[in-house]
Amino acid sequence: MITLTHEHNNRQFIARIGEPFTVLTFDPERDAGWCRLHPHLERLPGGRLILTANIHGDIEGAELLSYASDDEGQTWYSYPEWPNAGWSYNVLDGQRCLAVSNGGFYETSETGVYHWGIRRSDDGGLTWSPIETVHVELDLQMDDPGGAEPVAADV
Amino acid sequence: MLGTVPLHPGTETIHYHEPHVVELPSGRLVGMIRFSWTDGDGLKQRSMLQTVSDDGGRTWAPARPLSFLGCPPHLLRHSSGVLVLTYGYRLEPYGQRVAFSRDDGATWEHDWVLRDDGPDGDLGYPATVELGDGSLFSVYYQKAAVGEQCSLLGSRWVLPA
Repeated sequence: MITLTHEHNNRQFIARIGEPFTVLTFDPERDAGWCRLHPHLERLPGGRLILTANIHGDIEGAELLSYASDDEGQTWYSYPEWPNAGWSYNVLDGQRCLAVSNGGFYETSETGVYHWGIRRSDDGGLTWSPIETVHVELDLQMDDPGGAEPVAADV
Repeated sequence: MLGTVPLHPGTETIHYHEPHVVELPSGRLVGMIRFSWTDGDGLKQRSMLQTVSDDGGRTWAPARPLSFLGCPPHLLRHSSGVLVLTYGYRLEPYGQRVAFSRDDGATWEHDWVLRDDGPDGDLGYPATVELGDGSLFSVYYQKAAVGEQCSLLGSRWVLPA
């Protein structure tokens, strides 16, 4: 599982670990013009891995896809029924999970004012509450926009 | 708004992006923020700033820069207590890297390499989970080969001793 290779690169110590592999690769025929970006990954209390990502765009115009794995990431299947595609989500404790939408998808008509969506699960991610919105005001005058990334913590 | 993070002297809000937060058993929140700016030579630089909160996010310590490059951050507290920080590395050799903290974020062992085979700097956004056996699974985006669009790639790994 662990491969260590030590070398000096401009006097910097470098160590390589792990085994890289492909989860979802680019297929020139199927995916022409597509890209897959910004993955979110979470392991639900029951062990299921949920992977969501943007395809065909960064934030604007992105399509959101979900995949699941029930064998610790060995194999993946499309999981279209996952209600929180493209969201950040956290396992708080035990069976409680919280999903938070990307702010970009809930922009209001007022400049700089967004609604973040929040969904809660009390059964390990099997079912989710309806979307509740949280009003936020953001300064998104960023010099390197990559999307506002809301984060949930159990506070 | 619950709270704000005081800026590091000499920086502006425009430089701050994409935070991630992890909660310690003590209740302390450790936050990591993507920090991007353009240096005096017009080159875009990317690193991270760290902050902490001991009152549930109502007040935060001033953001302090890390001593190494890379972003955006993803934080995970491993069951062993080690904080795991995965981040993209958009400099040659392009790839994905990891930093560890064994003292709740006071110090970091940085620039462990998950992979360094990226064709260019269009990569990053790693997310890491701990699997049932304590090993780690990271997913990120990167081009698998020159000329391709970005794919989702991953790494399986274990914490170095």
